[in-house]
Amino acid sequence: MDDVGMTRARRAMELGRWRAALTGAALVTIVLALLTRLVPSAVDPRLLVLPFVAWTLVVWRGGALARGGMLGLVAGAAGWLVPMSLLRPCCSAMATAAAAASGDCCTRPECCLEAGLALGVSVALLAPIDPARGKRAFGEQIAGTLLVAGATLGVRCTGLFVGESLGLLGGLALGALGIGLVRAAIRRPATT
Amino acid sequence: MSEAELDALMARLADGDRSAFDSLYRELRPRALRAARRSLAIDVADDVAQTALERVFFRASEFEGGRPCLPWFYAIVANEVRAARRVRAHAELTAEPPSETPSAEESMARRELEIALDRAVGELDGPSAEAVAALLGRAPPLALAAPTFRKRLSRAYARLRTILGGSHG
Repeated sequence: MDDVGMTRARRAMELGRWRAALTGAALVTIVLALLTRLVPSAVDPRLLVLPFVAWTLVVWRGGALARGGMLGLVAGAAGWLVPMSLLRPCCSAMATAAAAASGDCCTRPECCLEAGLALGVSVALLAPIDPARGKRAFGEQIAGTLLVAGATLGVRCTGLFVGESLGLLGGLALGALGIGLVRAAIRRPATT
Repeated sequence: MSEAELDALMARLADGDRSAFDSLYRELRPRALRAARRSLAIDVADDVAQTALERVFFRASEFEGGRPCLPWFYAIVANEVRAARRVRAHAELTAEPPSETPSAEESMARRELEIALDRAVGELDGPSAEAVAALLGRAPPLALAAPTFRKRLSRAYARLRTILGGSHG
């Protein structure tokens, strides 16, 4: 067998995957950049590089990681749309920016934790389990979900306080990992 | 390997399962070679087949699982073959016509051939040498009947073939 030809073909395959991943990541980043217009609190657009890199990596790697990444993107985008009235229930959305500037806002990180948990649990419950692929694939899927969702929500967190950010991201990770582990444990072994 | 197995392998590769690559390459390479050799000269066909294979694997992530692999594969190979033929046709069209004046190498080869021929003619018997000289315009035409002249030439050719073949063989 022609080893040089095989090496060249393998390199071409990896290049093709990088191209597809980078193209997809560019589209995702553009959509997220448009989404920043809908977010009432300020976000740093330079941090859009996080979801770009995360999306590129999971799509290039492919498989369960990419499938999880898709779910993570949905969860991350949903996290962007969680209204400030839910994250900071005692502040009106209009007053948040001015209150934050004065350091006088009544933040409640536990609300962010609850929102993050709800997102994480939803994501882990929605993640499909394919018995033929095994537990490892399910683990990769959850990892892809957390990576992309975390990177996407990370941008959103620039408009939040540290406690709120930790609550949102931690809640997402806890919810997704907890439910994911439970589902993987009770999954029946694959039958042939 | 059946077509269904090929389809499944390509779907796995498109999904990101790199372990499907080796088997796929081993299965698709002979097919690409055969397809290219049907339409192109053998010296070009192997390169075109390799280029086509690289193209196929470059686009592997675009392959949609559940669809047949071979029509997609042959479409890419046929595209590469067509491109190679276009390039070749264009190269032939734009190639410079052969020069009227011979190159130094051609002149030297021609000169060596003439020397070898002169030596061979020198080894012929008198009548045969005269016939060859008359044919080449190096001597006046012989006052012979046409059949006789042809017979002498025929004998001279047979002898020349022996001499030239022996000295160059």
